Amino acid sequence: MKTIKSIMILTLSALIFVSAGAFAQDDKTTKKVTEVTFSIPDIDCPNCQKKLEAKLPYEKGVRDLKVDLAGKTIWFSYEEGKTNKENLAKALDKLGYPAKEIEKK
Amino acid sequence: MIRKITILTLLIFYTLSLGAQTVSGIVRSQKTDGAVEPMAYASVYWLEGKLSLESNEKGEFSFNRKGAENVSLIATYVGYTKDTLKLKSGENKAQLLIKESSELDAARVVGKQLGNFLSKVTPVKTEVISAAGLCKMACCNLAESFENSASVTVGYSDAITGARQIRLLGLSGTYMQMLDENRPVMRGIAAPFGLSYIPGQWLESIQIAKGPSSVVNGLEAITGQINLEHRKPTAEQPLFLNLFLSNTLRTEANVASSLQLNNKLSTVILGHFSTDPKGHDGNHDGFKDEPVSMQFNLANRWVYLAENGTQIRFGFKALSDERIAGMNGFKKGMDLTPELWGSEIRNRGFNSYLKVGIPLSADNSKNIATVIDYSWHQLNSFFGLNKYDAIQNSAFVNVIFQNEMSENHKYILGLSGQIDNFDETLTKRKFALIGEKLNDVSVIHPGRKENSIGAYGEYTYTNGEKVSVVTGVRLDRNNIHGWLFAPRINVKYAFIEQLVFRGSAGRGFRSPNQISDNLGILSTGRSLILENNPDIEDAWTYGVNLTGYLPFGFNDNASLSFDYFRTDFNSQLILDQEKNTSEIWFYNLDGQSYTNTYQVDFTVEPVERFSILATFRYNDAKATLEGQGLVEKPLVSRYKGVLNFQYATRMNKWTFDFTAQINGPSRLPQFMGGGVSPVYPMFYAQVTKKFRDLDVYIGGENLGNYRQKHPIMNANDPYSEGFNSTLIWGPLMGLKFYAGLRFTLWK
Repeated sequence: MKTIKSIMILTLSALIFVSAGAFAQDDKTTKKVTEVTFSIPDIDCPNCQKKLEAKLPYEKGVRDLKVDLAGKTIWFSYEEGKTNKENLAKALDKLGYPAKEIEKK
Repeated sequence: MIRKITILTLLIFYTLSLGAQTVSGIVRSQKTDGAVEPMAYASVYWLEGKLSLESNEKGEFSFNRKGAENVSLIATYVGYTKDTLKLKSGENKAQLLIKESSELDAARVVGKQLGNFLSKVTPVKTEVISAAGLCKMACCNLAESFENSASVTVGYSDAITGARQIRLLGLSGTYMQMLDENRPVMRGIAAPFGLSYIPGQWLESIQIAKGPSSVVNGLEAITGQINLEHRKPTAEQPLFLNLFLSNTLRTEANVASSLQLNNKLSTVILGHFSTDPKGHDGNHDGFKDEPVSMQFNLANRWVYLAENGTQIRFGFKALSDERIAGMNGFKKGMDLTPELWGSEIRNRGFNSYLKVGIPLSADNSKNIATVIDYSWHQLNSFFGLNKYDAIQNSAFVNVIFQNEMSENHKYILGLSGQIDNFDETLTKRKFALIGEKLNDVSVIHPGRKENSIGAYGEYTYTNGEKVSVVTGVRLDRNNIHGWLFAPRINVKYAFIEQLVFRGSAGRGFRSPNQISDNLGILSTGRSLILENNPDIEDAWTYGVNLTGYLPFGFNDNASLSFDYFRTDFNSQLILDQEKNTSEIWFYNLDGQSYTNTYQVDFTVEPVERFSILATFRYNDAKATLEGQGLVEKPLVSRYKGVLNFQYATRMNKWTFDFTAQINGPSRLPQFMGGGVSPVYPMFYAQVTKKFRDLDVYIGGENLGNYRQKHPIMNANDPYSEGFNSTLIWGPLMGLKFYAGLRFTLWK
């Protein structure tokens, strides 16, 4: 039983350590970060939103995203060197949500 | 832009279709927040032409009517109410509006990231624990899903069986009605372990409504209702898998599979397995703190949405649970000896249900629904020398007619019936003088056959989000307790959008089950003196609530809420352990019994993705005990405070959750030494890391390692009169670590 407890404590510490690393990584501001908003007319259910929120964070270069279900849009913050608008639009299309960029006003 | 294009396209279609044979139209959908959008890929049926179409990306459709005089159209989409329309000769333009059905409300609510929140829209004050909230904690089962809620307190019923009990408004969970998607569940024999039989990972959300609520589901909601929403058949998740392991080697596996067989029929299969393979004795009193156990649980739920708007839902659930408890040396199948006290508890249950909803008008403003539910539950157990075997057969039928006369007025009329057959055998045994075999000393059959039939009506007045009044009455005829009349009212008034008042008052009834409601009493050395003619428990609950939404924090959506609730019993079955030290008495209340509950809740998101929830409840629970007069109810904690912090990094890749609880003192009976129990804190923490399709979490419970010392009285002499495992005011299990993962496959 003690071994299991030690393993648990060790894993917990490791997780906290790794997560501290996660924060540190976020602070690096040397990369060029750009934003884009797409219109995704096909999104029509809360579950669709969940699906996008589950899948898209793991597209290369995506730093942040927000889905607006009512407005049927998705906003991305991404690293320019790692991805581009076309790739993001492709990723959306692949998930079944054809996207069109909304021009900034 | 899209809207403009849509309107333009529609205008062009309209112009073109004038005098032509082409019927063109658009399907729009109304979300639960009222927003109307074109609905892509909705199914459209032309009845006379037996033609099935699908709307395009913009929600539009068209077809040739081939000279047909009448064109009847139906638009449907999974999870939405359908719309129908009749076009006369010459009319070629169709506009259909489908509404997101309330069945999806819970799922929609989950879209917000808050774990626990107060619903703005409901007339009854409703606390919602969403999927996000359920994921905050390990939530092995329902009993563990309320750690962040001050409204609900969960404690062990006794130190032997591992059964948990819930308290709402300072009263035992038996006074609260448990609903599974609006069907009463966890009743009678199925109640004592019921919370352990709802795996947390099967749930989509939990709604806690305090105070007397609707009359539609029967009389039994006295302090409130807890409604459980399971994972939906319509969710596009063909596979969900959860695995869990704790440092006590508790192992758990949950699986869910939602499958849409076609656009009408979908199903969800839910499976659960858990085991506590090792008896753990952290307090070294010679007894297992939690039983060695093994549980299998399987459910299958179906939804059929027909073209004409008829909805059919049906499903079943089966479970088997075995627990071995008692002294550390006691193992399954062993004989009891004067030196070895043990307990075996075996539960098996089956439930099936059928719900049919049929629209009676084209816009579904009139509809009729039927709910049929059947449950069988068998409990075979012994606790030392007390042997208890019970079988329950229950059936419930409810027919509900609903008419939404206008946006403001709605009424419901219904008839319902309940049949309960409790077949119980309680055997008191003793050790024979020669050998170690047990002899029966006394056998009693406290079971009963109870049935009731009732009629009810409920009227709802709604004026937008400003005012709503729900008032209902119910009259039931019970074969044992005669006529039962219960009026109920719930009022909501928004002074301004950010300040909402709610008030409620109502009466509830409940038929007590002397033994199964208090199963822990079998793990004592005392004699049981049951009440021969227990009255039906009859209580009034009144409550007021004021909720303010404040412009603080990141989203300007902080909320502050005050509650006051009072429950007054006219009749109640009292369990009295204080009359003397050799017996446990049950008797009908003679005098007053009430609880007053005050609660404050505050939530705020000071910066993006960081949320704080602070809540505090105080309650004053008193009952009249024979020989003592009106006294504070024993072992009921006077207050509880909860402080929860949650922080998530961008896109929730990491989630950190920390909860601190403070639990107030409770009165200890004289035979425990009198006075009050100590105030104690509890701490919980969890870290979740999200990967693609996979969440991994690790956490700890009771981080302060606080435990009630000596939870079992006379643990060293378990066959003595003074042996008692029911005197629980604090945690039985110390520090606990766990780790788990959740895998979701999306369609």
